[in-house]
Amino acid sequence: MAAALAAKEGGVDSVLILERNENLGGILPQCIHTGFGLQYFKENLTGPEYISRFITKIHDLEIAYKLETMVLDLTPKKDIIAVNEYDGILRLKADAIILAMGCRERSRGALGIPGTRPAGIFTAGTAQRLMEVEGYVPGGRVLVLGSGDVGLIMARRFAMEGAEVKGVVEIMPYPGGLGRNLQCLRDFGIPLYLRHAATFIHGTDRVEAVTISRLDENGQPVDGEEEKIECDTVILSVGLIPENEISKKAGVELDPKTGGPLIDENMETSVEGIFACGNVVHVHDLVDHVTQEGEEAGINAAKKVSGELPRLKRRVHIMAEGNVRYVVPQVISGEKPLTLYARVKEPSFNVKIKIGRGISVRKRVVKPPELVTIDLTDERLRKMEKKGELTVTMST
Amino acid sequence: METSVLIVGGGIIGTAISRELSKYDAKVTLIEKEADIAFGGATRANTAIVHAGYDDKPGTLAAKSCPEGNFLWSRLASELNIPFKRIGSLLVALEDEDVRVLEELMKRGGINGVPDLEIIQGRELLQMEPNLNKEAVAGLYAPTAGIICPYEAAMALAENAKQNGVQVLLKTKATDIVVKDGEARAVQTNRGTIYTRYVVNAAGLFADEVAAMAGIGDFKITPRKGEYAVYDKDLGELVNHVLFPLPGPISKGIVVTPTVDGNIIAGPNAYDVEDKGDLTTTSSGLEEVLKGAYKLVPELSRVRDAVISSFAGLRPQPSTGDFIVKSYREPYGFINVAGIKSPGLTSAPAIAEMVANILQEEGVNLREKSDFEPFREPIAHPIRDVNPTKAEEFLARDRLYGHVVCRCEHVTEGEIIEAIRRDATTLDGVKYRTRAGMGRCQGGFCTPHVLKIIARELGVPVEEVTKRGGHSTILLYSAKRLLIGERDD
Amino acid sequence: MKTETETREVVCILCPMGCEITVKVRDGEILEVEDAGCKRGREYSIKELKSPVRDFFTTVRVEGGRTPMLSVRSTEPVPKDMLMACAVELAKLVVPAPVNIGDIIVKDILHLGVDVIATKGVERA
Repeated sequence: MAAALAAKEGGVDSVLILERNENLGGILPQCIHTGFGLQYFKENLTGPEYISRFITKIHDLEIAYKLETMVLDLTPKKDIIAVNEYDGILRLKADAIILAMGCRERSRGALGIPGTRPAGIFTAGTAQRLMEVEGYVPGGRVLVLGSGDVGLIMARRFAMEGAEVKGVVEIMPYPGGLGRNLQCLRDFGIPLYLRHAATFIHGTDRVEAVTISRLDENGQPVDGEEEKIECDTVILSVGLIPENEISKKAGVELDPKTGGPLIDENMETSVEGIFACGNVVHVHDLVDHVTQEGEEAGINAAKKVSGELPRLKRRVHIMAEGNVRYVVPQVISGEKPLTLYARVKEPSFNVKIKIGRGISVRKRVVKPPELVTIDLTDERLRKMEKKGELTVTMST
Repeated sequence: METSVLIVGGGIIGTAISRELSKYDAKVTLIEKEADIAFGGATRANTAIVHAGYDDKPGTLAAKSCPEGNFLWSRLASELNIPFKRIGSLLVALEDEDVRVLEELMKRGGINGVPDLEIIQGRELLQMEPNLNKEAVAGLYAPTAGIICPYEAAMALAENAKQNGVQVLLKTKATDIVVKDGEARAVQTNRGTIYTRYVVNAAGLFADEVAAMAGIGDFKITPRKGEYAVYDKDLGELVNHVLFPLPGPISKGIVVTPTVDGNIIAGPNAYDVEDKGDLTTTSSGLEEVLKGAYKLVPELSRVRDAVISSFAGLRPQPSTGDFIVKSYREPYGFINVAGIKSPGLTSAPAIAEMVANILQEEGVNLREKSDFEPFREPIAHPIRDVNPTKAEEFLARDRLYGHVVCRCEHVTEGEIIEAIRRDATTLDGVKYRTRAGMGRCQGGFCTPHVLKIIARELGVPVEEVTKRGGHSTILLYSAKRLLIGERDD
Repeated sequence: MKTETETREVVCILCPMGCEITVKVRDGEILEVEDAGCKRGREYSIKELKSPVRDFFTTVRVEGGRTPMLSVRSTEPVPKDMLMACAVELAKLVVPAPVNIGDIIVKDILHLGVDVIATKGVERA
């Protein structure tokens, strides 16, 4: 929506949003917790409150949208085939496309957790939808696998709905979520099992228990260090994957490190006229960043439509190495100030982030759950080396 | 309740027999203990291959029925409107000394009546299968081998049988068999007694237990587990044929094959288990399956992330070593169709014909129905099949086929409702008929929507919808129940 | 009666540093605050010990609406040990549609001086 609003305000007459859900807002309408908008609105809002402000603006600016509409195909020429119940098959053509399809959750099947196939296993987002939108508490004795934000938030919500949360199981030696979400573990006395993994799910028809095991430094289960935790529900919060099936159909080049499209500082992908923003590009932790990316994509898509945005002439590829898992955008011109987002693999304190040999930025603390922002100001860009490829590294 | 022929077991064998008998004027009833057809442990979890038929020892029932069944599947699949692709199979020798095994199997195939077998050498082999292990020396090529969806086949057979008058009773479990004066007279079930003239025991893993109810104890069924890994459809044309390694002592070995729906599966391993309900996957099992797969297609080792699911099935291994398809003198009126493990899926149509013949010999006058309808309408997938023009025609008739519910497999509300109309009452029942929930997100997005549709169509509360019947309820509590308990609102 | 000095640990959540702050208390009086990385963190740790508060948010059942549940929140944070009591209080409620975002669902919940408001709108079915 931020992209659509920015495009409309940027002068584009005909903006259309295609949304597969029955409401606008993506995942936010079901995120009933607070913590949204601290940066963007300088307020502490819940997901639905945050998103309603944008929905109001969409209506105010009379931006068209179609709900429960699935995009089936997208070509590099920006031809779209979509379908919904009311219009049937839609064949559309666009001057610019903005991809904002978000993420899907990693499933139990993808993890290959051994055991039975009982009812009662849900990914955290599905459990959230069932609880907050449909009005069901999927189970009463819950084990959460993964200490990422969504899992921690659902741990709190299950506890608040009267369920017993048996624990949160995390394979790493440190938790994956933001501090504010970890607080719920202490508040509700929920045990956090760091360096543990689920090794077997029990239960014929419905989940009955999960065996978890302590892991050694190589991530392998340690013999004799198992615990069988009785529960009726398993909540999986084990990774988000940018949803790029349509991007692939359009021939958009993806970055294996992010799972999303390779983008430049204008949020434009490898296909001219196709932009991408938000979780479809890389997994964010703050909706405020997602919103800013959306606006950037919208402004630039508008410029593209009016012919004011040529492809970047100078293309400097930013490569991530060492403790830097990825950097977005992956391609910059070096001529326009921008914010680089980076995600680290492991926590570290008092680090120096170097881009090539010319730019150096200090950060007091970097942690995997929190996206690192690097402001490439005019001053810093002046110091940037004139090379086609620059590596981002981190040292203490 | 009364019937003429009572078939116990709604797997691929029971449903194939039902459909075959539905061609005739006999009253036929099929009972299945689970909530849906094919919900047992073998039909819905196997390698989904229609084998050529060179593996089985000549003279055995398996050897006789496999090439015959293979041949019959062409017409049957077309009448039932289920996908069946004759992609051919390659049994691969990775060492020179293993080529003689290929030659033996080819000879055996000849005796069994398998057409067009050929041994292909290294270079041509790699042209046929570019991602095959480069160390492959030769391969036994069987062009008649193919792939099919086993539960789709069983469900289609049951639908067509019903179309033609067969009574299908789900959630109906045989608990005892009444034998009087040396004749099987009735089957007692959890839902009442069914009087019948003939009992056909196609109870798969539990066939020995059902036979024992009639006083027959000449075989035992041992569950032999096989685990599988399922790969994302993204892998495209990595594999063109069904790829076999050299057969092992107790199984055909770990196979790599495309599925008829476009995934790739690897498996199965093989080991006996105690519990006939043990469908658990294990980490060592998954590793074993993947290692076996990498031997045939080394590229798979680079795409570990593309595994979207794993599952296990149980082969009903007979103590006799071969299929058991026979009638008895004592008790009269009882036919065992048991121990139908691999190549059971392939042999099913041939076995069904065998059973019809046995019934004929037993004195059942099987008159052909003049109004037998061989064709079954499939559930349409106008969006999934991505043919916008064809889809437009369909959508004009029923716009619910335009509401996509499963985004990974593009399954629409129209298809889900049709699946429910065709007896799906569970989440898995809808899944097996439409593929909703089988994609890369494994039901993460569509499950809440599918649950609501099932509840609405069946007129039941959402909390009563199960994953696959029994106690597999998905939502345990409605909002606030845990906080404030049951109330009379 | 001689009172004891208690040592309590508070993990600050205000910034990614996540300082583990040690606070020494006696008789309800703060004696010493150690290991706080900044002044805000120091103040946070004192508040956490004296009167910890939390944002309160949950869902409420709706009658006659397009959707069965309404998401709500407290206008101000509530005392941490009152979270479950607030949840139970709201669990008893069934709110009739229509509801507008910002509507007061419960005024001064459990006399805490805080209202519970709707965070979304629910139209009539």
